Amino acid sequence: MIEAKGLVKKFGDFMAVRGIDLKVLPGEIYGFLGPNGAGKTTTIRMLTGTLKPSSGEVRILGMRMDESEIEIKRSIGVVPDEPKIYENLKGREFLEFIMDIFKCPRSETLSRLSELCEAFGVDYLDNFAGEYSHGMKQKLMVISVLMRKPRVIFLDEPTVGLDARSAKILKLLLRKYADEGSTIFMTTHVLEVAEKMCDRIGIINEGLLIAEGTLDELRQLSKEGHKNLEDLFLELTGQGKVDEIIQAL
Amino acid sequence: MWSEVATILKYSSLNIARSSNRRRFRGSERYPLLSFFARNLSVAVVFGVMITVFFISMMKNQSVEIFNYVIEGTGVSLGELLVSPWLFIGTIVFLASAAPGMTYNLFDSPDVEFLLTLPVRRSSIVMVKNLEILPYYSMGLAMIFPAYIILGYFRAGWIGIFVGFLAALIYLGLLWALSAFLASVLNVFMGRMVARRIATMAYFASIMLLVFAYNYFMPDITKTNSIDALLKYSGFMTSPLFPYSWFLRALVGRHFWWISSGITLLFVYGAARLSSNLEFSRSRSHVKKGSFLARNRAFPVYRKDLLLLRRDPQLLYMLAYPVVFAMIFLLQREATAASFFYVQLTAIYSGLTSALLLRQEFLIWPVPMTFPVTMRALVLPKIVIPTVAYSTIYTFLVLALLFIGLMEPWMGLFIPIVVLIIFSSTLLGAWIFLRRPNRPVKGRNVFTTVEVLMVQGITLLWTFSTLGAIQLGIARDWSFYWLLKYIAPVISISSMIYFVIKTSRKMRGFNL
Repeated sequence: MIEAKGLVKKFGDFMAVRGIDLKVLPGEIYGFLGPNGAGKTTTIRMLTGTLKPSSGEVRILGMRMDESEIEIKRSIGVVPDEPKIYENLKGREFLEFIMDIFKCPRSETLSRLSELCEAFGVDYLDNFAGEYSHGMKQKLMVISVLMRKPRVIFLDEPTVGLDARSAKILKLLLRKYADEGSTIFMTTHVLEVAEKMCDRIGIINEGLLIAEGTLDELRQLSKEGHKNLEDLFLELTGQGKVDEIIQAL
Repeated sequence: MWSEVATILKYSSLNIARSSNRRRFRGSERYPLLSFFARNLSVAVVFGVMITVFFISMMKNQSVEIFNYVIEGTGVSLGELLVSPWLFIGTIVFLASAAPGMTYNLFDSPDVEFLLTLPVRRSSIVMVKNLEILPYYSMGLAMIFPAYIILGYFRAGWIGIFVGFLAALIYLGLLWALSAFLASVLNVFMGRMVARRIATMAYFASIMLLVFAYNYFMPDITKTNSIDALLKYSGFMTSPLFPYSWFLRALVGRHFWWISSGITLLFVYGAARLSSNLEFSRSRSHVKKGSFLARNRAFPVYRKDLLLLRRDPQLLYMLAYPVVFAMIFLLQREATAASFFYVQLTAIYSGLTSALLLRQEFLIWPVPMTFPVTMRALVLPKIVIPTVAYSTIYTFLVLALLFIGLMEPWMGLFIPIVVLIIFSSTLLGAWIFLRRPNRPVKGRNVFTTVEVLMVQGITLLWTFSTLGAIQLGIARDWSFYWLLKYIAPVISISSMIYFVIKTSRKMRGFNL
């Protein structure tokens, strides 16, 4: 379970996140949407313990982040917005490092890993990570998280760089893991993905959570009666005047 | 073509300058092209000018006839013989650095794909990519240009300098063409990471070669007494199999210019044709299939850092360079100087090594923050590994010197002091790096000039005030030197211990 209360992040005078409260339950896929610069990545970084909040509280699996950071990190999986891997390590060495540092049960993890490699078409583990394309790195990053089957998974734009087959497999796997009780928190700009996959959606704009709920609940917030998520999102974030811009162009 | 090259280079050099952590000066913004060449050629120019001035002033007192004297039975002049080793090494250094450098910069640069969408010639892109790796082969240039210029000067005075420069320039064209051919071949079977590693290693090796050659090559030749050895040597060094000798012959009038220039032109034309038809395709290195280990291993961060240290050419160079430097002194049987200079260089490099190891984590930031370990567990290996590596090498060096009797037994007592110096220096490097964690880390230099001077200044002070002071205090018999022998080391050691305790405490509570 993921819980945040009054989460605030300031960078000097700039307030990136201005008091966010949210709760994601086990078995749920939570889509976290927002325009560029809205505070999505800052929020996800605070939730995963990679960034200290200026104020507020984060609880993962009932543990407070400021008290049990290491224990929490061992139980969660994070796919960051940019897949960065040590360039001078081979894919295989990177995965071994992850298994060692997370103290994963080897045989169980290895059997899951070989299935994941086959599913995602990863056959380049003996090459140096510095030689990988963005997509190849992204697949490796996703695999390094999924092979551990953590109870809570955070994914920041997970489908960026993935080919259609890999993206489809990832979506199905996340659904399967959620159905088995995992908690999944993901950000995406692909609203169709959020619409199809997420049980609940939160929309952040200018550091504030402006809307939250199931798709049906969000639809009720529309003053203009929008039904699909794209129009709804644009209306709620105040970016709806697209037609006028197109006309002017 | 040249305006295209200048435009692309202007912006790519601005990008490179800004991605490095060098303090930006107004010149690099206003004159990016000029600052690009100044930045990348300054070291080579300083080396080249030093060598040229040194040789010209050294030989000026001898008569010019000696330089132009033709060794009987060879047809080779003494001047040719003197400069040919430089050209020999320079050529190897150039080809060893430029070809792999071109492979990784040309065939796998992230911006090549974008550049190919622009309405510019392919050959312009190739030229820019070749110029971008100028630092890699600049040391080769530092050996090639002085050789021709010196020979030209002693042949025809000031005009000879110009002709020598011209010869070097044409030869450079030939080398570039050869490198381009080599790069095309290397690209077939070498991946980007391997090519980059080889290019960087070749660059560092060239600096080592330069130091070696500067100290040993020339005196050996001039001191040789054996006529046979000299004849054999001159035959090899000035063999027409080596293209540099064509231009040497042309300079001394034993060969027609047009032959060497014509061949060069053919090669350059071939390379230019090749470059305008390049595919810029990514090649993957051939790899051995590995398998996963069946069980988890302890100390994963240490293991990972050791692996990264082993694979980073810059880090390997910093481990090897003090040893090579010590060897230069050892060849002259100067054991005390060898160990002293080893410690001096090590003290500087250990700080940089820990910073470069820390840089590896910041390159993939914030991924390391998702690992279930404390900040201390991530930082500590970057201090422990360099300390253990440098201390172990020093201990072996001292033991070897004691064993062969080149060092007095009491000097073995230096080992714990040296370990303390190395540990303090490593900690200093890590501490300076972590003071400004959001520094740019993509460039080769992680420290600003001020920080480098800080590391060098403090570590040199520690070395001089301990080892230097003790050695000087013993060597001199004056009553005043007891101050150096006893007081300075005690103060210095105390300051190091104080620094270690204080900084360790600060770093314990460190968080990002």
